[in-house]
Amino acid sequence: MSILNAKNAKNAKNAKNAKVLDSDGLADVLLAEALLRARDGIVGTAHLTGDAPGAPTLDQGERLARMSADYREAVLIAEIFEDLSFETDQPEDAPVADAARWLRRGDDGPILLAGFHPPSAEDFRNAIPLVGGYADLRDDRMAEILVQTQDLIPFFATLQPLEPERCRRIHEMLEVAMSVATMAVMRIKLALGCPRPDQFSSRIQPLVDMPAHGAFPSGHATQSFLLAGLLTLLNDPGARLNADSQMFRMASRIAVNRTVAGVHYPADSAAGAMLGVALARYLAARGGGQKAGGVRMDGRQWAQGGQTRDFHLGEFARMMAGDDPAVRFTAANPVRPAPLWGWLWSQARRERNERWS
Amino acid sequence: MIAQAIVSAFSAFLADPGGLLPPDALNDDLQDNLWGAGTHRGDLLNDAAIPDDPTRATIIAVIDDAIPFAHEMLRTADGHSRVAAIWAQDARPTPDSDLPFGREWPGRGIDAMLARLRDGTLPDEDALYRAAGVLDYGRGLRPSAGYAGGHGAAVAMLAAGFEAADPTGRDHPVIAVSLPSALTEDSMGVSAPPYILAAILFVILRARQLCRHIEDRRGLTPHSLRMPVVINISYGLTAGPRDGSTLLEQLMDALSRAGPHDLGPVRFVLPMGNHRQAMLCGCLRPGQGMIWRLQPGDQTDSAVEIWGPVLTQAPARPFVLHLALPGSPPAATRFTHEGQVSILRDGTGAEIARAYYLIQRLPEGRGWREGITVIAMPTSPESPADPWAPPGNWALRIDAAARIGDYEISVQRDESIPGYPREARQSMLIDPGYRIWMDGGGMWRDDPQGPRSAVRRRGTLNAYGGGTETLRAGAAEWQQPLWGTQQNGSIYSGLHGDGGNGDVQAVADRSSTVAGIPVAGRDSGSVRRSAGTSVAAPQLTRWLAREMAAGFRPDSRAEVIAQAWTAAPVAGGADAPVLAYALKYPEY
Amino acid sequence: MELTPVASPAFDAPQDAFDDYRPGMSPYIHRWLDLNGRLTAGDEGAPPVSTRTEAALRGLIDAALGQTGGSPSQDDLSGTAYSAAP
Repeated sequence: MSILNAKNAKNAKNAKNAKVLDSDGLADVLLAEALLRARDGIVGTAHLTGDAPGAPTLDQGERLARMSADYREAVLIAEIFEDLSFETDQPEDAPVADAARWLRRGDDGPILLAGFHPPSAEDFRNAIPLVGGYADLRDDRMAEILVQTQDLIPFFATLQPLEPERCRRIHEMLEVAMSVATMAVMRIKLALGCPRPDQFSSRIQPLVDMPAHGAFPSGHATQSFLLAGLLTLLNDPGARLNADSQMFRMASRIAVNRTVAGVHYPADSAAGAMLGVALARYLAARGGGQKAGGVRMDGRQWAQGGQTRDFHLGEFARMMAGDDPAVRFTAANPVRPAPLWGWLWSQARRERNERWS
Repeated sequence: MIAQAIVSAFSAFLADPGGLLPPDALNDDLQDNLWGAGTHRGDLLNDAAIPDDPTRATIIAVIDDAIPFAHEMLRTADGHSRVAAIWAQDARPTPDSDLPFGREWPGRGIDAMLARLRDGTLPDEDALYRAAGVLDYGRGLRPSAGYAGGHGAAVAMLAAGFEAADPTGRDHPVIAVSLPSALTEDSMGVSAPPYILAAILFVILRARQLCRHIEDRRGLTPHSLRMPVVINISYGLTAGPRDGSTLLEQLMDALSRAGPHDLGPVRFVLPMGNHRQAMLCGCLRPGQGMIWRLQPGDQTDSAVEIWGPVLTQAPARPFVLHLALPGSPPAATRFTHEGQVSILRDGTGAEIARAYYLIQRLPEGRGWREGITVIAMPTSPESPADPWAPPGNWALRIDAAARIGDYEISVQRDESIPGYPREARQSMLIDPGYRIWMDGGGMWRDDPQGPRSAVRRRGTLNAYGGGTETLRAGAAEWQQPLWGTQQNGSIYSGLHGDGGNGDVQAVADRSSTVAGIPVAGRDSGSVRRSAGTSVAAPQLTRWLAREMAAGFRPDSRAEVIAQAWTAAPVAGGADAPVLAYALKYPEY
Repeated sequence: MELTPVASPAFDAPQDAFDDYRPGMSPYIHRWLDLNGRLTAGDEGAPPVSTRTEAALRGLIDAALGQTGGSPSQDDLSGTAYSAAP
């Protein structure tokens, strides 16, 4: 997921020494030299004493607001993950897990946030003709596929106003959420270790680099359905997530584009959609203090009777309506509020509500 | 007989083998049984490729350039060819060939090639076409059978391609003709008729023989099986009388009205042409004039045709055309009777252009029309010693004493086709009153209301398409513009005189900003993007073939249009039905 | 120095382009033949002798449209449908 990689590069600022050798670094050395010389010129003594201390007045949220964005993001991610745990069903000596799930803190112990059984290897193999068929759309979707290897938010910014200057907190909230999603989906991918389409056929010939991590669930689907869900709940925290909306149309299209590119099966998109929706509800709840339910998807039931199954908006609608034997939503339960994340969420809500000004 | 008349009209041309056919495409050793006529053809289709119910089947014929007959979309599920016969008109003949030029591959012959493809003795489809003699880079011909995204591939698969696993495909045996590649290379396209004639008749002959063969294999009464044939010809001209009077138009009409008794109905589908916005057509009255602009750097001839109003009797005196070269006073034609040529010479006596005076007789005694065709020399000769015509604004004017009525002017197409580099430049008609842009921005999609420019968008239909029976396919956008009420299809698609975008429209462009639709490339599994009425026509062919297989027997073009309306989703304000575009995958 | 006036472009007196002109005969083909020196010199418009290709196409017409026998050259060219005489 190159979106995460880009952010990791920013975190490398921790190693400030890395900057010394580039042209900015040269200016830093000069500045340090100048500050050193200036201190020498006016310090007047080698022996220092301190002034009397004052008392802190700002609470955590206010102090969070004063942090630089990168470190604020680190704090918020950590706060979210305080309430999350991960487990797998893995027989002894088996290299991959049969199932993987994220749990979250509930009133009486951990409860399900999102759990997945992957499709069988034979199911993946049966999906290969469908992935091959989708290649017909590559010329048609190429611009989107290439851009979407780096950026997803611009596509949602066309659906509702998200100008960065007016919507700073909304953007920050979405970036934090996407980082949370990346961490969540990567952990599942690693546990399940599902093969990619090009491992089954040399004729997939994917349009973009095949990522090095496992296929199921799809990270793009997770992120795009998360964005669609969060933006819907940002507008109205009590809203039902309705498949028949431009937000979820866009999310479906982005997810399907990955199958067109040849890097995912439809089942991956279905699972990513469920994970994205569950995370959207959970994050909105932790920010706004409501309840959220979980989801369980059994990929072994995704393809029925040997017939491989496609993913698109119509299938997503079916899954959300509870009309799909592969998907079970669990009842909404109270979530423990996350005060720091809640601050960012309320700021984002305020920006959203002020959009007519 | 019209077909004989075409041959006669072109007999002088056919006499010269250096025309469009390379000398090695001619069969020096003609057999007695020319065309394999009069014999039973058992080699057309494997039994496994015969329709389950031949009385509910339609033959689809494609006449085009470099048709990839080994494509997987032309095979049955068990790997047999659905192509009963393909004639490559400029391929080298085999020693025992019964054709006067080119080479034919019957279905069983294709099956044998496909078997070699399966067992690996032919490594890929490219090798198959080389072994078949339709692709040879050493012959000095344009190797259009080698192009990854050829015209013939796109058209043939849209018209007749089915997934091998789809049993519907077997209801549509295919007969195909690949025209000489030099024909597509000829920027004016005017030498096509004899080859198209031969292709049409080849299709008819093999279609009849296929019916007889199926009767034989299925134990049906001889001469009882009359499969219909829909013939797609995705070619066109931009200049001509457009009234059905040319020999090719008359042939297509005659075959549609009354073809052979032991074959089903024959229908032709043509594209409307892509020249709505090209400023190639216009209309003048006596005394009026317009500019014919020749482009510099044009190494091929340019031509313009002027066709007068319909007259109730043969004209006694030819009308006079005034033609002024840039910077010169006008020269007047002085024809005395039809069939004459008059050379326009400059002050040094060199030929700059020539004019021909012709009279066309409309079918069914509908009258007479006079025509003058002006052919100008290249504006940039290939060699400095060659004569040339001055580029720029040539003034055309109909003499004021000409008979009252509309004189239709049309410029012949003169452009290079991608893959066929020739330095052709399209000449065009200029009228200062012609408006390209609407006041609010955007291009006019139809002739604007108000005072009419002499140069028109209406009447730009394919000049092969003036008959009464042929079906002309217009190109439509899948997503029509949301503004305005103009629903007449893709902005370039030729228009009937009344502004209609063809008889039936098919989607050739995704939207006004994204041109083209996915089409098959030459090689199985490849996909390209292509636009134009050439990809609309085969969709109409396919739809009509499906309808006729289900029992539809139209007596007229109007009945086909009415049938298309019942099938088409309503496109608000559209004047011609738009066939549903079969999307294979959802958009989201 | 005297400038020699250059004559304006003008059309030559018209000539018959086709021997026995019939509707459908193509000016483009005539032009092509003229350009390639294929028009018989001295006997303007007289068509060259029919070749195998032309005969073969006439044979195809008969075969495809079920007509047998008959002289292909004559009966299609006569008759009022194509008569150009006023």
